[in-house]
Amino acid sequence: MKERKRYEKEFIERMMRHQGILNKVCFVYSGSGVETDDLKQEIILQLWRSYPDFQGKSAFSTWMYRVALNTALTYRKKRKLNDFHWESEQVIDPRKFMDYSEDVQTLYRAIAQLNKVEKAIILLWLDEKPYQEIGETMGLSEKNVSVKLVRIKAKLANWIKEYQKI
Amino acid sequence: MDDFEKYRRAWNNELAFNRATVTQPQIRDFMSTQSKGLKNGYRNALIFDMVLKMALVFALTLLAFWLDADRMTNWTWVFVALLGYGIYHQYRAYARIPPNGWVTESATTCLEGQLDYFHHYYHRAMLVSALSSALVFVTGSFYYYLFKYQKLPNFQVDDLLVLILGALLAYGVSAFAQIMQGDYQIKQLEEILEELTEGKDNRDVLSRFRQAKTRNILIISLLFMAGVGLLIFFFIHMVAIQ
Repeated sequence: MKERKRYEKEFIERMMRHQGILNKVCFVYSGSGVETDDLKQEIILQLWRSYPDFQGKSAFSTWMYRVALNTALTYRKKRKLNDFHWESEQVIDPRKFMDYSEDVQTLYRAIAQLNKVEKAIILLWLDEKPYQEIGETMGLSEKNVSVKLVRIKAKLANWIKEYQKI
Repeated sequence: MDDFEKYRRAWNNELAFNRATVTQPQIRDFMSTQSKGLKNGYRNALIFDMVLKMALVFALTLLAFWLDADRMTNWTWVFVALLGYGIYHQYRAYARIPPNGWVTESATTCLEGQLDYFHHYYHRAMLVSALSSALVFVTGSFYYYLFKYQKLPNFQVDDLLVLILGALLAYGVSAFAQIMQGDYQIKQLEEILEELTEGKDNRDVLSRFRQAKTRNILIISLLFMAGVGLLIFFFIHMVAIQ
């Protein structure tokens, strides 16, 4: 019992220390506050359930990114009858950005146009993860990561240019 | 590209990302909630179906003793045997649900593992699950007759047709609804895997999924023919003993 409490406490402390990862993943994968909360809840639950598998072979942040991204990639809301939006269409709630710098807002608008896999790759790149780590997280070769990144950056640059024209 | 570095710097200097957005009590609450993912919904559906099938086994066994040597007794045992197989099948599907540790693997491995499982078990599990709806209808009808007439009446051809059509409809609607809901979500997982493996040699993975799909169609067709055969036999048997 005591051991369990200590284990829980350790997990919660780690979550508190690494909230940045949680915030970034939810920021990129959800369009509104409600979606963010749902996804955050699901990621924390999956992290907690998988925590016994964390053996400290990699940094906690690497492991956390992996679980959080796998959860975000496979997480699906049930389709509602009144849901007219396509799954790939991220509906952006402007209130979501109010606290962010202008550059991050612009970047977010462009990232929202990417597919789920591209979002994961650019998120890891933005967080300055090396190609090898991005490859291991996604299950891709370094070469593949580099090819995809070139394509993703080109798409983003294009969209950013479009927004700046408006 | 320099321009892009500007955005990367802005991203890394963004203070809003490091703000605490969940508190310790909230984390504690989230740790004990139910997952809203596809896997958990499916796991709950299997548990519910096993419990429903057990309740039906109990209701049909009771009915068999009640009917004692009635012409329908043998049929109730056939239904019990079908339910027994159903419970066994659902238990096997439940026991093989991918373990939670898979989310700690790479995204490709995690997706392939989930898809492998769903292609092997999902459709069959939903077809077996739909059997419960059909048997709830049949068992319910038998109990209704028993309570109303204290015995099963002599079914006319049209009574039997209504009973069989009702059971078929209950089976079809239940199977269709469950398979459609799951297929929508499975298709999305496939799309993510395709996006991920785009440009990579993924022929092995995709051909494995296609083989699983063909195998499923074959099994579903065989099960469908066996079910229709059983119903025709039931119909002929009942008409013959009138």
